[in-house]
Amino acid sequence: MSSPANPQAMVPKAPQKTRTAPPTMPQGWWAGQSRLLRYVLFGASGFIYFFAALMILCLACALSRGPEEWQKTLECFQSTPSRVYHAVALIWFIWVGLRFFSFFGPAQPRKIGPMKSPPDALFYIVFYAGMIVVNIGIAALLWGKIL
Amino acid sequence: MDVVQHDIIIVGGGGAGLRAAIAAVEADPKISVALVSKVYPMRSHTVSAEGGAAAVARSDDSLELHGYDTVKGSDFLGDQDVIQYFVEHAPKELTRLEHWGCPWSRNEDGTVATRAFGGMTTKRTWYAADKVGFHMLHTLFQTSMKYDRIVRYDEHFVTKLLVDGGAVHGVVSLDIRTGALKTIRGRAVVLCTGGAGKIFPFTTNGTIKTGDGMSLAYREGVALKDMEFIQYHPTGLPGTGILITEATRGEGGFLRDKDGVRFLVERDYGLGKKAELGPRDMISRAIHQEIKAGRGCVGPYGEYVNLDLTHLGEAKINERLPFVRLLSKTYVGVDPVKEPIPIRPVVHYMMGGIDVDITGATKIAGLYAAGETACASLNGANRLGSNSLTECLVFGARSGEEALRYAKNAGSANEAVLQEQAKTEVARIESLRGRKKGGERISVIRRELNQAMENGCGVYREQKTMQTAVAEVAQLKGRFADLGLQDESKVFNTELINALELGNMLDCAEAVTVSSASRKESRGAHACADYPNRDDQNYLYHTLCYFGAAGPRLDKKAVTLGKWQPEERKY
Amino acid sequence: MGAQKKTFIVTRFDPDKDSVPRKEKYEIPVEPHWKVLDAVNYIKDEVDSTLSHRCSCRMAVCGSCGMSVNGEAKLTCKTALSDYGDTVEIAPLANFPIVRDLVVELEAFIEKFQKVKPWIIRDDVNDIAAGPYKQSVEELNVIKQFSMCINCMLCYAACPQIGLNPDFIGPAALALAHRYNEDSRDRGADERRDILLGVGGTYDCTFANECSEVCPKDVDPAIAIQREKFLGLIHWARNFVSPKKGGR
Repeated sequence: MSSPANPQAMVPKAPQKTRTAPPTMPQGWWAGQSRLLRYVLFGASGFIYFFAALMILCLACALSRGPEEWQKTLECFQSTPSRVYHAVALIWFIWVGLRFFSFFGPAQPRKIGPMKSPPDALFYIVFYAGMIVVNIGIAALLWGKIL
Repeated sequence: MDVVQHDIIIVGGGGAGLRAAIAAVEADPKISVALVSKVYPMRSHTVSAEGGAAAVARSDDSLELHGYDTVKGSDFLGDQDVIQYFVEHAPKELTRLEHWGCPWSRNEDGTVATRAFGGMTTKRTWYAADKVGFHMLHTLFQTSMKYDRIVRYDEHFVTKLLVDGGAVHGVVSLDIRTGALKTIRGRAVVLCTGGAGKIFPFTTNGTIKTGDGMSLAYREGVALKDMEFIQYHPTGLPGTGILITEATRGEGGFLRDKDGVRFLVERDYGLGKKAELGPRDMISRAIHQEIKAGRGCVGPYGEYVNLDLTHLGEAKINERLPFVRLLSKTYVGVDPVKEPIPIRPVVHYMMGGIDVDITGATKIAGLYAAGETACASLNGANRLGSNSLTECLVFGARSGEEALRYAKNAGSANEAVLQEQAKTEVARIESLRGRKKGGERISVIRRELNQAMENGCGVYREQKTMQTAVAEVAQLKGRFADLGLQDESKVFNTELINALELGNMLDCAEAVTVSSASRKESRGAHACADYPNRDDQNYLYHTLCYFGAAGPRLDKKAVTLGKWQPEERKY
Repeated sequence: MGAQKKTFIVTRFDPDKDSVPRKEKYEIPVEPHWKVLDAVNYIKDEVDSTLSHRCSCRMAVCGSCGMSVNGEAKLTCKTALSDYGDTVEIAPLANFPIVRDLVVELEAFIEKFQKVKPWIIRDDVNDIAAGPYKQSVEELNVIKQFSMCINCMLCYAACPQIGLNPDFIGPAALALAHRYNEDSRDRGADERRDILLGVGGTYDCTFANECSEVCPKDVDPAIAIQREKFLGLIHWARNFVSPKKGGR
């Protein structure tokens, strides 16, 4: 069954000539359809960034308070909830990244003024290369291999 | 009853109607134009045209050549002054459309590309992939939105012209949305409502092609001219009748019988070297004869022959005929890159229509017509492919401008008479809606009408079957009066609309059958088994059919000859 | 007539009689080659002539016959009935107010359409006698895909933002604006981009991509809108740095 849409959806600004039945949302809106569920999950990845931002703030604070605080914070990240979060975040973030890469190229205008857009393949290469480098870098950081 | 006032009223929002509206407001930005259409304009049947629009564009071409091709294509029944005007204005109109953004296909050097088409001596058909009607209509519709002096009455069905003292003063129209009738007053009316292909069972035409404008004019005493000439497009899909454009042949496609023989080349159908690029009437007859001789293929939807595009290659088909590929796959499950497309002749266009002169004027002052609904006559007894879209533009523009000129000096009307007419019309429609007491059904009468037309006015006709059709249509008209309707609702009552459309179709069918039976010769698309030759001595005239309460009355109108005298039509 | 039968559950609504839409069941014989529209036409012709719907060309180019079939926005003249089982639900398009039965209110679309000025905007129009403008095959290919829209509005029926945000101009109109902005003959991109950056413009799109999923003509309005977002950003930045005469 469909849920009601905003009652003003596709209602003209000029007065309607006869009474109409109110609009309904597309069926399977937001969860009933796998395509829309993916779209919602993509947007909901904001939660991942939110917690990641909190953690980075924690780390930055800890850094400013000296080596003991730093060690304590790093140990905090060894806890089970933290590991679970990191596992979920890794998968979710990779999925978001791949999805983002797949449409970034085509979403570029074909030309801006006289400049033509680089081929989509170039975007893929840059993104994948960048993602791999960043992931290795952060893994090394958290592993204690650098800094 | 609501009454609104405009300067000019245009009925029909397709290629001709939109062009007429734009022409009028561009000529005088202060006037007010009502564009009244029973569907939103982008749904008009112009949208389905595929092949192209003709106009002289290349240096190896000339206006004279385009004129001659059209005259010959018309089997010398076309009025040569109209044809002259047409070929002169064609390039300007297509250029104007290009300036408005129409995405014409291009040559490598950026100029507009042209392709070969049936009956045309050289490449002069401008095209936009194979969706030219779609692009033209959308360009016109979008351009028309620039002008707020064009006031649209979308989904309004015109049921009557208001005529008094030999002049038209407006229309009565049914607002399909609300079910209310409205008088739209204007000083000139331009009818651009298209043809009436739906009187036949097997047609490329959409459900809206029901000859509404033709009937409106017919009922007011304007003659319908040359109604016997019905164009059978050679290549329609079996079952649905969906159009497969002539451009398939223009780009090099071949027609083959069940043994793979290119029958237009191997057997003599009077087409000479032109073969698949011959005029439509001759090719349709050839296919009909092949099928009758048992050389057609048999399929689930009847007999057909094959249109072979496999030798064109995937690249060319995707670039020049992508829509054809899609239609073939969707509606007959055939990929033209790999297999030939099954096709058979299908009703496509009516050369005949409302009798107008070269300016688009009928004999009722202020009443004009343009496009397929009119007969000027540009196309005579047979139309060349790609002339029709250009016709909509050239004569749509002319009619719009002429209507404007007339409107500026139009006389006043007897208001009491018009109000009385409007009142009577409202009563008629109100009593028709949801009239349960009748014994007949719309779908039954429509089906029987289709069958009568198919039997009487097919590719080949016989006096006997034509006379039978005349009688059957007359009988159906009688039965129509006893129509029973179930839908009493006012809001968006499509049953009522279908009933009104059926009435219009019966008027057109009457004119078609009576005119056909009266022409005892074969000319252009009107091919008589009993009179297989063209008879210029006795039949070089336009047939006029007038509405009469006791039955239609026929008359003749002379053909305007010019540079070219009738000769044998051989290619 | 074929021996196979199917049941159709069709939404009905008459504003003069019904307070809310209701459903009616029709069981009819069907043919193997039928499209969904053939079934609807059969119901109207032979079973219940009070059923109202829009249709015209039956060859997927006029855009009239969009309906919701088993919950999905479809062009019914193009959708094979054999793709469905014994019971098929036919409803009017989602996101639109319902006028009658399967007929929806289209005036809002016309308003949104008109808002983006979908025509060639140009001050210096060439003299007709000078002939058509030159346009390269490459320049034509930039706009070709986005000029294929038949205004069937399946994209509006599928777009979640259309259902949630009444101001959103919508996929087809925005894609058409992009088509004109990118047309080598047009000079109105600045004028249009001011509109597209405004209320209900491209930035109200959240890239669900449902519009492109349902488009029967492969127009891909979603990608047109994303491209316009980027171009709109450049347009905004350019104006920010050097405002046009008369300000914004």
